[in-house]
Amino acid sequence: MKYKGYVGRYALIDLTRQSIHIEPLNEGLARNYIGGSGFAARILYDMLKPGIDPLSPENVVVVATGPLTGTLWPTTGRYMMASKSPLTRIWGESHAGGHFGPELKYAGFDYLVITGRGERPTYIYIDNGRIELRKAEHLWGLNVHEATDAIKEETDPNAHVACIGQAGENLVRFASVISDYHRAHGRTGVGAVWGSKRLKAIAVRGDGEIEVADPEKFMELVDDAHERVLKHPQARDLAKYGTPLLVGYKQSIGEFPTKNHWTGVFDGAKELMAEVLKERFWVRDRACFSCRVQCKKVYTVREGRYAGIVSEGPEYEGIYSFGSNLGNSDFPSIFYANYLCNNYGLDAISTGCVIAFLTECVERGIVGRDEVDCLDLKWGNHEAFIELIHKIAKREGIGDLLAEGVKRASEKIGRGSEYYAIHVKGLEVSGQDGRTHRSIGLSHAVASRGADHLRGLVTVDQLGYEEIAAKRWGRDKLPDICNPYSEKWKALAVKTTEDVYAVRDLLIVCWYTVSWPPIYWIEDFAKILPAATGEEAFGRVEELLKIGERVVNLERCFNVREGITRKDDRLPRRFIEEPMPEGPGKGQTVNLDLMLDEYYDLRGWDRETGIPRKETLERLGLIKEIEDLRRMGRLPE
Amino acid sequence: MKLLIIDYDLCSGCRVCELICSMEHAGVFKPSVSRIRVVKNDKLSIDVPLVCIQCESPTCVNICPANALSKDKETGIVRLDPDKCIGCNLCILKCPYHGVFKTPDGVVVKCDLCGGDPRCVKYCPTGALQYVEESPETKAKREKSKEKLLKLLREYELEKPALRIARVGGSGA
Repeated sequence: MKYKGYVGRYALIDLTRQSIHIEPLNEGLARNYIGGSGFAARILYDMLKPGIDPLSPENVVVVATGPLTGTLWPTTGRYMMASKSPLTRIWGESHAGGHFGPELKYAGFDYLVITGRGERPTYIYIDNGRIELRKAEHLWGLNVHEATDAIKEETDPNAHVACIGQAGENLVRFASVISDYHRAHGRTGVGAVWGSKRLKAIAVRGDGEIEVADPEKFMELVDDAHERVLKHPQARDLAKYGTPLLVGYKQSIGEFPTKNHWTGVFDGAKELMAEVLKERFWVRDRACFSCRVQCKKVYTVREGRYAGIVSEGPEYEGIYSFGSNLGNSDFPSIFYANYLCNNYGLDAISTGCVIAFLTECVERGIVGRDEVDCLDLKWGNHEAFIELIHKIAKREGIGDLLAEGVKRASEKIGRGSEYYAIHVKGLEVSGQDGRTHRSIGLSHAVASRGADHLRGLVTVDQLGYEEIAAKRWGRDKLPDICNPYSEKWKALAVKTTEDVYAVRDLLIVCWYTVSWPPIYWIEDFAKILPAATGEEAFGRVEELLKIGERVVNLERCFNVREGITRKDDRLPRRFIEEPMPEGPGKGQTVNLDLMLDEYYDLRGWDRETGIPRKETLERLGLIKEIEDLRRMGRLPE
Repeated sequence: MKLLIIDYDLCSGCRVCELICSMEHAGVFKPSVSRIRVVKNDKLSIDVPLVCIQCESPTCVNICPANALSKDKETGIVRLDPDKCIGCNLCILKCPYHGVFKTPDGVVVKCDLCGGDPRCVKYCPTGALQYVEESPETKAKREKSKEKLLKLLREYELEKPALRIARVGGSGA
């Protein structure tokens, strides 16, 4: 392997045949797709036949790191998983922090490809280049904590374990994979894919090394990046309060989604402010590998029915999904709900959202109380919400329906409930709202995994980042580009942001420090990547952006093969038709089509179908994809 | 003379210390050769950095059968002479603070304070690692920190992981 930064090997693990192949990392793959999401997009596009059932043995799971994973450049301790999503039946991907990703590289692997289905439950143990498939019958049925404890006992007390809980085993369509007890690959249901493969866990232990191409230059850049994170006032706030810090920001701009995204102002927000949580519940801070932010907050509840647990607490998204979006200001119950989700292996966002959907349906009389196992479902009744989490994980009673996600659940219920199913392409909407922040409206509509808050969320078009916005898109775009209630320039902002975030997810660098607070941008990647890998071409911003664009387009082609077109790039009707009822954004709705036209033009996608044009794919070197789309009759003429 | 003091309440478990230590001593990112290592109880979110604290009367120096360990009277640094070390593991097993380690190649390693300017202290983002002038106050603080370490290792059942991190016997698997 001519490139440094990588460890130069991957493993192909077939659970049907119980076979393991270890192969050298392909240099062309590294050169054209860099790592992380890029590796996953290339591999899944090539290996998966369109139309397969995501819960069949034909689905494939990629577990990938990037060339910066395991190094000292700040916030690079992350890794990712991808597969065809059982929730959305399109591109599925989720990233997590902790220590598993770096350990996988120290064990000698840049990525893993897992195929097939075991006859019996299995777990994978990777110890310094050796891979073993082990029986997991005795672990099946255990929650995440129990399973992780048991595997560390059986392998090595210092092993890092990623595993599923009962939700993944029960094929809940938004089941997560949890590593190091608390770090979640939450979105798009990769945990259910593990469950369908009867894969309980992967444990990894590694003593190896990561060499960089130019250690002196690399360390110079580390020093600079290190200082910038330590001196950034918002990074310091994040260090102090964690992502709950966002509760205050979101409430102040009227975009703290409340009661199933009905409004953006939550009466109970003051109970959920970061300062309040810090004072009443905080125990200590934690960080992921190689991070200088330590945004993980360990909390405990000292009294009441949820007292006694000490655990890493909910992020902003968990506070939104079990708090404001359920009309619930009781933090102890939110903390407990989040803890349950991580222990069952459920995505906290989707879980809160399916409960919010059902609660609104009951509140509006669309669904009768007799249909919801006689639970007293109403805004703020956290006891009923907690009960539903257990039912979803076990697929008991009404939980069996909710385990299908809001899209399928609403289609099954019918009776107009579809209007209250707040999702895009089947993925429940995260804690943002296009009505008060137009660019996220567009991001939610077009992102490759559905209503996504990580791959296209422009952060610098509000909250006073005019200078940064001017630097990225030109001063002539001010003030409109920073007006959250205007569609103007938002397609441009989203397109660039998606390309840069795609690169971020190849390296892999954390959302926090790139996306918010905005500390690093593409220029920083163009400096660190050549120092890490030795590939000079990675030092050109245009080249990196082209690779980012390539990955965005490849994921789009993956989705087009599954039947996605412009008609699917929609927002929930609530965001289009129902004006924001109160707060700073009162009266606002999203004019999506206006932004879509502009976005497709900028992307080189056909306006009518939203499918990449031949010239676009050609320019990005996606030649095979042109033929594939043509054969399916989907290539725009 | 200066003292290395660890404030265990401030450690976030980021392992930046391990990375900078391995880069400083081996020129690569390789926690398994680091002279400082963070042992964890991830379930309970506990992180405990382990490193030689250059004891005044070091157990390791006293028991080393090969005279490979010595305490520099002037700087206070406990040094390991690799040419004399016979790899018997006694220092690793007997250090009360789990501050001596083995690399995957079976080489015994310990902190030498980077000769008096410990890089891990410079890079520690939380201030958990401190290198301060010796005074009655800082000496008292260090005594407290030592007690805290032993309490953490006991309370969170970290003695076994700590010894495994030292990889006594080499392979450790």
